[in-house]
Amino acid sequence: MRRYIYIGIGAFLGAIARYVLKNWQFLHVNSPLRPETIIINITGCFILAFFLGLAFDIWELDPDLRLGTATGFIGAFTTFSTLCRDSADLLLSGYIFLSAVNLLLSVAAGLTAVYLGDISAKKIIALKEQLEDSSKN
Amino acid sequence: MVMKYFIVGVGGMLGGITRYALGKWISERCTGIIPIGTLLINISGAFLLGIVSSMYLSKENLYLLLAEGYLGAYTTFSTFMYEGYNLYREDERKSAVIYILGTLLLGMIGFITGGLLVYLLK
Repeated sequence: MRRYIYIGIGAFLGAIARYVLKNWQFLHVNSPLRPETIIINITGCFILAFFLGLAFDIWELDPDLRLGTATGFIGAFTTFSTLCRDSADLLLSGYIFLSAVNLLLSVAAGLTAVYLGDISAKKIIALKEQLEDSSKN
Repeated sequence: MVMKYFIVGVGGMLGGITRYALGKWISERCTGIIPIGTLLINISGAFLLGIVSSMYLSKENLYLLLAEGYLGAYTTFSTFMYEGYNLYREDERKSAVIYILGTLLLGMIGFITGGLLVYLLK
């Protein structure tokens, strides 16, 4: 039950964060593309990989809190349905190539973001272990 | 204006909880390396957004609740990418490609089908 509360709160905040970023005029361009969706999704991918990389290793994180942050907040922050809608809008407006680019670019950038988040976490873990080793000597 | 954020938040809360509960339920019943839970959730979410987007809801707040809030949180891109990445890293490359491209393709088909459904039923 407690788990659901954490997830619920995380998702509540994650959805609002997505909505806020989405409406930032600064992210809008004068083109059929919707870069705000891609930026939101990629950011979420990095944060998720980075967070989980640390949460499973050096942090003694409460599992419910971990779920609330990862599945709740970050899971709700990023969105797949909006990505499909953006691509469908492009498709129906005749931008067939851009429609595919939208999807493939999201995936390429998303996977890269996960990779970077992952190695960043691993780097921090390695640094921490180095510090611990050197303080023992 | 604050009301809009709250509405999106409430929808998001429900969407996130649904995603977790349903995902867990599906994963407990489907063994295999491809994350069927996330896959089904993302595709169904795309389908439902296709429906909602085509409906031209008169009340903007209803759209915020269902589309921005609920479906936006119900589907997830980060988990999808994280799982795809892990499949690839665990040397399940073929499965990774199938999972990623399959989700994209079925998601698009789902969304368009949802929209078509509303269009045909009007």
